[in-house]
Amino acid sequence: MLTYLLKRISTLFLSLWIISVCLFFLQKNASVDLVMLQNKARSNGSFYVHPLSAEKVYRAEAVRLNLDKPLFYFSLQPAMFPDTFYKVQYPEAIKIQKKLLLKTGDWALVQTYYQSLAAFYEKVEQSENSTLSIFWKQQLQEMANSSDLSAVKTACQVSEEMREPYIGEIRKIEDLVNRLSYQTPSFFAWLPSPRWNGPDNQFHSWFSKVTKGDVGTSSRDGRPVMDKLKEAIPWTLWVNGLAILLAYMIAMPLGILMAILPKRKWLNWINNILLALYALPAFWVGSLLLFQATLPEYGFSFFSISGWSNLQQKGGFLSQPIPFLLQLSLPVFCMAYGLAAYLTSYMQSTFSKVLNEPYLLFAKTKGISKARLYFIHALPNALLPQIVFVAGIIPALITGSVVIEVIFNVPGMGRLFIDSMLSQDWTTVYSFVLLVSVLTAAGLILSDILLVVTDPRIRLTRENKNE
Amino acid sequence: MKLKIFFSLVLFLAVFGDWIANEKPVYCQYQGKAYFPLIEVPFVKLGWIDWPADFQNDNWRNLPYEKVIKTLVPYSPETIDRNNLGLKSPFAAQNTNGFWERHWMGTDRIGRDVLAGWIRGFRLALSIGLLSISIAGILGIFMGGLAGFYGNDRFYLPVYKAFFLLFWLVGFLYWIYQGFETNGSSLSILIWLGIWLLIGVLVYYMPVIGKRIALPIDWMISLIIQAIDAIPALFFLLALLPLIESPGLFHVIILIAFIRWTGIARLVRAEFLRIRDLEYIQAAHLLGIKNFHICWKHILPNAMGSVWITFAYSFAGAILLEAYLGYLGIGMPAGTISWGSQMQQVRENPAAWWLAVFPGLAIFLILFSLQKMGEKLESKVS
Repeated sequence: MLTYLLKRISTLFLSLWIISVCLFFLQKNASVDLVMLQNKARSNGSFYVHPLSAEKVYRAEAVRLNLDKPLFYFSLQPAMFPDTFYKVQYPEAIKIQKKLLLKTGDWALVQTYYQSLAAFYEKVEQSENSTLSIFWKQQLQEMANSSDLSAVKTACQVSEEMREPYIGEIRKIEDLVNRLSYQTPSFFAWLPSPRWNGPDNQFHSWFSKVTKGDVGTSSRDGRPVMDKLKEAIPWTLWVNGLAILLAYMIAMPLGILMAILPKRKWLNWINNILLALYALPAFWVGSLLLFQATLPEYGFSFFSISGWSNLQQKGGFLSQPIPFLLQLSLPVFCMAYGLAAYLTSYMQSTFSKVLNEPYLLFAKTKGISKARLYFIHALPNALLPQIVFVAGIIPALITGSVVIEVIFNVPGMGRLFIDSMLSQDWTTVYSFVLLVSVLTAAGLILSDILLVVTDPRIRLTRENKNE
Repeated sequence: MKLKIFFSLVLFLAVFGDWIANEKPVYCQYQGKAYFPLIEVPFVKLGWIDWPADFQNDNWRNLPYEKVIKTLVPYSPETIDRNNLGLKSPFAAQNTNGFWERHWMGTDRIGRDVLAGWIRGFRLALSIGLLSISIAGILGIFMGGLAGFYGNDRFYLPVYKAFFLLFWLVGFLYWIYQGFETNGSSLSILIWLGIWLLIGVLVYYMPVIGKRIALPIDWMISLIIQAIDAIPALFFLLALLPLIESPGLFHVIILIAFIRWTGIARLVRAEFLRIRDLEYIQAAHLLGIKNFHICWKHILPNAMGSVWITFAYSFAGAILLEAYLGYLGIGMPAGTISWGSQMQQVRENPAAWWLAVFPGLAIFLILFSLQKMGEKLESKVS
């Protein structure tokens, strides 16, 4: 028993670690240009930096944002890549230098080329001739943003009087471009060169922060993501919790009733209706309800789409339970009816299965009262799978609640997720996914443990199988 | 039986939808010449048939035809009817010439026919559902079968081969990745990949030396399944989409398949675990039948019964996911007409009930009949 639990929990942690590695890399891949965003925010959106002077700005910022480290514990690059390639910070420069390197295979040459471009830019910056320097700045921007060497060459070939003041630099660049375009990576430069980076890497520092509950700050408004989550989670819990509660309160009696009533033709019809209710997409019902039933003409004015902040300010359920529940009623209803329909037919089938068990038939023949038979003997056995079932459907519930929250404007996790998604706030998005997956995994394991603890038969077979 | 008729109808609408709802007439006589514009499109593109210049302007509905036979719904999903802009109700007076051109399901804000878009929705939902579930099915059956057939204790390897396998897999992924980085244009990488495959084959056929250990395949695959299952589907889908620069239909299909295969794999794994210990499989092993043959011919057919049920339910799930994406307006290329995108418009125009009712009805009917089918299959299996 204990070994089973330990095994289960250790695999859980392993899979959560795998998820967090994946999410970390997803976040890195989808990441917007953080430095650019922050600088833009600081200078009211009019931040411009020339690609050849950007590296300095980015390096200074990267130290602060903890970006000047290798990504992971180890790296696997072609041998032609330098060990310190991660130190290049400007996204455009990373792209161009990587392309040039893959094309030529000579890092020293690529770097000399880039540095001579930068030196050229510095000289242009210092010179006084304004029209000429503006022209060359533009030309240099084109050259720095292009991995196509022939385009760089044509950018250099302008009239002699333009070239004259900087002829030394231009000659040097042309020479380097010539050398670069004849280079190709050697056959063995493609071999992978594994490298151990040690624990001083970006993932490690991110992950150790995450385990302490600090998942970073939103790249949109600079607020800690955890604060945002803390505000949002209660709403999602309220909606989902009430929906589950409501569904059980409807489904249990109805399911039992359907199981103990004699089989008739209309039961078939009820089953069909339940199936239809289950198949009825909640977001459809939600949008129809919202727009047809909340209009005052129809007499439903208890729900308002902007009523959430009002509730938030006044302190939620405890201070004003009736308006709170009324406000929650529509989303909860939308979440609950499908679940209730499913649970009803589930309850019906488990209850009628239990009723046919030999020990219940024996109890019946012994002549105990029906109430005792149903509620003392049958119900506990039928209830067990129901309780376990809830934990298993949590992922589906959360998925469904995303759309419901968007429709009814509930300030819960789902809506915040979609909002941060649309505003490209990837830090928040991936922190959300991580948190939700931790919650879901915990729910799944809880249902497993519950099952094992309450049902000795499962425990025995599992231990026999050595799982 | 009724289900069969319904699904055939859905399939018909999905396949021939573009011929039912199209602004190009089936037959027309224009400037004394007869044309079949609906069918002629590919031939015109090939240059076999010449159309008058008026046909190129996409103003099909207002041309002065001499004779014309229109399609059942004389609008394409993208057609903008300038006379009926701004949400015309199906019951309202519509500014159309004649009964045939009426918008039976109304129009949306920019004057597109809702019925035509609704018919297009069938193709989108069905192609996403069917393709993603077939991919998920293949992946799920393969992974689940592997995990279930070998379990943790039946995939025996010499120690050195087991370690080599892991090492080789990392290298293989590395070469594939490098191939993508260079768009497959580098000859050296192709040669290296070939060398790597050759090494793999050589080591595979090397003799067994020393102790053998069991590779815990079941554990590894279950770990992957557990990790993917821990992330709710919609969150996962939305978290993966930003990685793609311009997401299209194909990407959505692949991603949905990647999310949905775990359910199928779990079921296949359980079935394989159950069946592999049955006597007839042991007999097959004793007869010396190859493992693959046993899986393919003797276990899979018996496992498929319950797998079809999950197919039905996963199909429903995929269609719902597609609708969510359309409704949230994320992931699909801009301008894609689907049921979800039609329903999304209701959020800005609450009074336009026809934009919500008809697409929702289609989703509901498909989901309901899929559930019904799953139930039927279930009762058949048990």
